[in-house]
Amino acid sequence: MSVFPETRVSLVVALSSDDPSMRARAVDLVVSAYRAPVVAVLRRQWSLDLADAEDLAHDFFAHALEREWLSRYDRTRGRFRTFLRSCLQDFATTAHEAANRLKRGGHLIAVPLEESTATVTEADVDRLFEQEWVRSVLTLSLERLSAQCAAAGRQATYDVFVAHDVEGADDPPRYSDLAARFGIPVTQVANYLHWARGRFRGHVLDTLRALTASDSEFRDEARALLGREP
Amino acid sequence: MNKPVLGLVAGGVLGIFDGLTALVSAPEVAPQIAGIVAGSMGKGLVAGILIGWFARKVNNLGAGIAFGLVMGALFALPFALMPDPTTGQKYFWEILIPGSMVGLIVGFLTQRYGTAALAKR
Amino acid sequence: MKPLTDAAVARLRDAVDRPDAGERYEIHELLGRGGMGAVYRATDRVLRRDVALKVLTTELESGDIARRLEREARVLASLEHPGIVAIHDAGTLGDGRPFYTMRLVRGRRLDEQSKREGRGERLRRFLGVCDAVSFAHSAGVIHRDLKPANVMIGEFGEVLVLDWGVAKVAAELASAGQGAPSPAADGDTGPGVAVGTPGFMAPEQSSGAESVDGRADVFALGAMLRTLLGTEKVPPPLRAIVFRATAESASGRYPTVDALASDVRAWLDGAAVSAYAESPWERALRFYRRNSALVLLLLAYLTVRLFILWWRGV
Repeated sequence: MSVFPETRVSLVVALSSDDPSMRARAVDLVVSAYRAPVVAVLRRQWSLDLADAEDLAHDFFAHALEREWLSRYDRTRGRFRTFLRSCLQDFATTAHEAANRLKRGGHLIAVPLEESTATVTEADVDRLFEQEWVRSVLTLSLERLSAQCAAAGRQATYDVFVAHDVEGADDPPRYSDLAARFGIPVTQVANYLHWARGRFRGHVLDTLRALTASDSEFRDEARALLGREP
Repeated sequence: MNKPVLGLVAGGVLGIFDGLTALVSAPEVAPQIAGIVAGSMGKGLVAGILIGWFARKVNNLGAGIAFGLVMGALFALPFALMPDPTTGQKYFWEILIPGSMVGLIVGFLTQRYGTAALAKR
Repeated sequence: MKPLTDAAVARLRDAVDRPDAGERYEIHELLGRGGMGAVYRATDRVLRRDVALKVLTTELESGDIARRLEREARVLASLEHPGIVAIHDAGTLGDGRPFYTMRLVRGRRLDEQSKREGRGERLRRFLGVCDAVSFAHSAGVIHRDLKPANVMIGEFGEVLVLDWGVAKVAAELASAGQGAPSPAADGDTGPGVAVGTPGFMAPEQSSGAESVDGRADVFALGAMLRTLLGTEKVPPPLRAIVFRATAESASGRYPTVDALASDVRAWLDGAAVSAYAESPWERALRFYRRNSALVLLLLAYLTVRLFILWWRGV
């Protein structure tokens, strides 16, 4: 099942839809996009190792679904990303307090939750959450591009794009090297990159659209993702 | 104001002033003051217009000042050499130096403040 | 899929944002980013020259912002003046984003350049800005966002006023004030919404009043002048010029940019400044500074006269 809705539907509407398949797709999308940022925040702020952070992230999303937190999102009060972040903060704080009570009571707890002793400000954590969210969105978009290229018989296009803009990010390979590696003319490298970048841009914007509840939120998130200072 | 006219006006005004200061530096010439002032003004007007004409032809502050100084001295010289008809006393330096300085000042004024003529088409 | 590295994330973000300007323009580095979009250095392959290409960040910016970019291009195209950056081309990219290209200015921003210059030079640059803005006003255009960061000093020393993104045609402002349809239809913020930069915005601008005219730019220029003069000891006439230009009420300011420039020019020439009431002593001192040679010559003449008087008395 594709994680992306076929038509533009508000995230809020999709999450609280009566249609189980639409609801499931929306939830899958939220989990796909936000799992990595949630894990990163839990590790940084609560000093968890990777396995524990992933377990707790799983618990968080399970709680969110069970208690229908996600469908209670009110878009007039801010971005969905901000809403999810504050849900996570509440969940982790509650888990930490519960763990402390249990500890004082002498019982074992499943996942010990200790706030990080390193100096971690809320701004640091918010920044981390955003960075990982961006990474997730780009990863989802890359998966979409991969699927599109595979379906269109343009695997070479995808491979060139990945070789130049993903694997070669630190030190992009020369077009002549890519041409030799993939057995294509040098001019074809530029064409492939041009095609792939254009499609990739479309997938990024589609992903953002699917993850936002309104046009204005979409524009804000697009600016946040794209509007960096040089 | 164009340079010849400025020279004329400045020469005349300073000439009048120069003539009147004779009352201070040589009070005994008071009975002839009208003639002194008229003469001083007259030479100031003529010298002034010549200095102004020179300023229109030669746009150079140093040259203008030097020409003014010379004109002032030349026009003052006859009066400086002339003895007083009543007392017979000569006022050579008292006439020549201030007269030359007036010429110098008019030369400066015309070079610095006079407006250049429009170029001929 | 392997997790994306930070470098890959940065590169992909850049790849997404980079405009596809088609065959004519080759996009290079990002030069700057503002509220409306981004400016890139690009090469015009047809004319073989570098240009600055301004484009919206995303094609789904609100229609208002897209229209604002288009209007900025039209405003720039209507203003042909050496102090206003020239626009070369305008259109829509393949991805649907409006763009325009303009002269690539190689130089420094006015606030950076002024740190390297004396007061006189800074004032002459300021007069260059006034010249450009005055011209725009004569064409019925009000800038509304003047500040040192929006002025560049080109490589030949020319002063260029940039970023006409919130410029307004005076006729539109006047019709808005008379209850005509909201200017928001033309890509502007509606009435009641402030445009400009705090510190340089006239009070009537920051309150979003509809009655904004060229005197709002006079205010901004006064604030700019104050910034350029810095914290060094400022002569009273210049302070008075700044004070008048930045008067709270528009009616208390210079009526036009030309009037402001005229006073600044007067100060540079050592003439009287209309905004400042000199004392007789200040007037005499100013006269002496402008005509020191003449004053000294006259004093020399009087000295000679007094010397002759003394000499004859001896």
